[in-house]
Amino acid sequence: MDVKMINPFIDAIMNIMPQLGFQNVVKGKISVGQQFVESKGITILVGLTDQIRGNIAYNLTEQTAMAIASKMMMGMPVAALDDLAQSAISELTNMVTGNAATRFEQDGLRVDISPPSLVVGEAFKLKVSSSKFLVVEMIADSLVIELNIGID
Amino acid sequence: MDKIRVLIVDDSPFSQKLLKDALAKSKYEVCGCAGTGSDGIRQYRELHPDLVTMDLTLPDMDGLECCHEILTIAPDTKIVIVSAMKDEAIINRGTAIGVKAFFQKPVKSEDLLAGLDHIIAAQQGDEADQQHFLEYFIAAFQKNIMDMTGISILSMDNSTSQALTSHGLAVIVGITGSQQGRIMLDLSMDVAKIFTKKLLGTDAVSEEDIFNSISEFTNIIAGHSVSQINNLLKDREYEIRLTPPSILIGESITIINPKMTSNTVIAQTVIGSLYMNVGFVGGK
Repeated sequence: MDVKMINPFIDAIMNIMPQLGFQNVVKGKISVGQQFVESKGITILVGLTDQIRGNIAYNLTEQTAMAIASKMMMGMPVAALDDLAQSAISELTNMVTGNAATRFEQDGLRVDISPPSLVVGEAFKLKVSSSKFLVVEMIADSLVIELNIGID
Repeated sequence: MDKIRVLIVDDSPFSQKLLKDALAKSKYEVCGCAGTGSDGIRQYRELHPDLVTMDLTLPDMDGLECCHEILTIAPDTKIVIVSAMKDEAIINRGTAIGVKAFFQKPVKSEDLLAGLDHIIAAQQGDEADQQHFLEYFIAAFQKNIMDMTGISILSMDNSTSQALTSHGLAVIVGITGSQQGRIMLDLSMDVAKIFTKKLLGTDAVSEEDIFNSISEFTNIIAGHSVSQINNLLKDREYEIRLTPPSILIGESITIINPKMTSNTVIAQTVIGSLYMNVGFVGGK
């Protein structure tokens, strides 16, 4: 896949996270994933179809997921990844992927996205693409979200 | 038909009156008015309304905070924001906690009614369509197990489920377009291995063969079902599309789709059980 494909996702994070109250959003490491994404604990999967086909997996620790959910809910304490926190974090990935899709469309590429599936568990791995995928780390107020982007 | 009961949470008596007037002579009935967030929550618990309209600035708390409290009590509650403020940040934060729609004051009666009607109709229409769509998925699941592997099905069971726990290997295909959701095929690694041997007609299968075969099998079931549904819908505008499969590997992992109610169909076969889960979140 073309490395340029990651830019709409990076721009989407840079655009959405400050709206949710994050002050400092920066891009971290970028690497190439070979076959499997190793989950950090919480992985949210969103499928892409139409002129761009693939999957994106947002990978983060449970602690990070709770901290983001808390921020999204106006600083309310989040002690566990309960229904509401799950809903908030899923909605975040939905907004980011939706925003990225709009950016692709501005470049003339139609993309449709599936609803997010939140996957929780110890030691699981997943395959987002039949070939290699790109791994982008985004850091929002020292919370790390890893984007695994596999586009066919 | 029974009236749809609405609770108004707004600290301005003027705005409360405007909303009451806007909803008068409609299928909606104002069952309560609250001037503070805490009174709103109290009345919500007491009245169990079908819909809540929420102002953003309340004397004792933020309107979104009040939405959050109500949605904690009942996550399915339909809440709409009616406020002087309406910007992208509010919409994003509100949507994140489960608010259904946003209206800016002063809201015209016809706009408010059309918006609320849409929320109610979307819920009713989707439930009927989705139940009907499930039948196509079940038929494709059954037919392809038999046609592609020759394995006979001993029984098929169907139950509603929320969170799902994988049996070892799960393939997820996203559904998008006029209906949004996903189909997931889930089975243990042992069953996946035997199933792949049957699919490929060989005894020597690698892990890679298993991943490829099970994901293609899921893709075929999804493709067959969605083609049938699209034929039914005819109009291209309402077409349903599929995203490429992704594969989850691991035991005791939970798959959650917060806004989705799904059905699990279990096919019991001589080689073990195959689980297909189909869920929708409602139309665009």
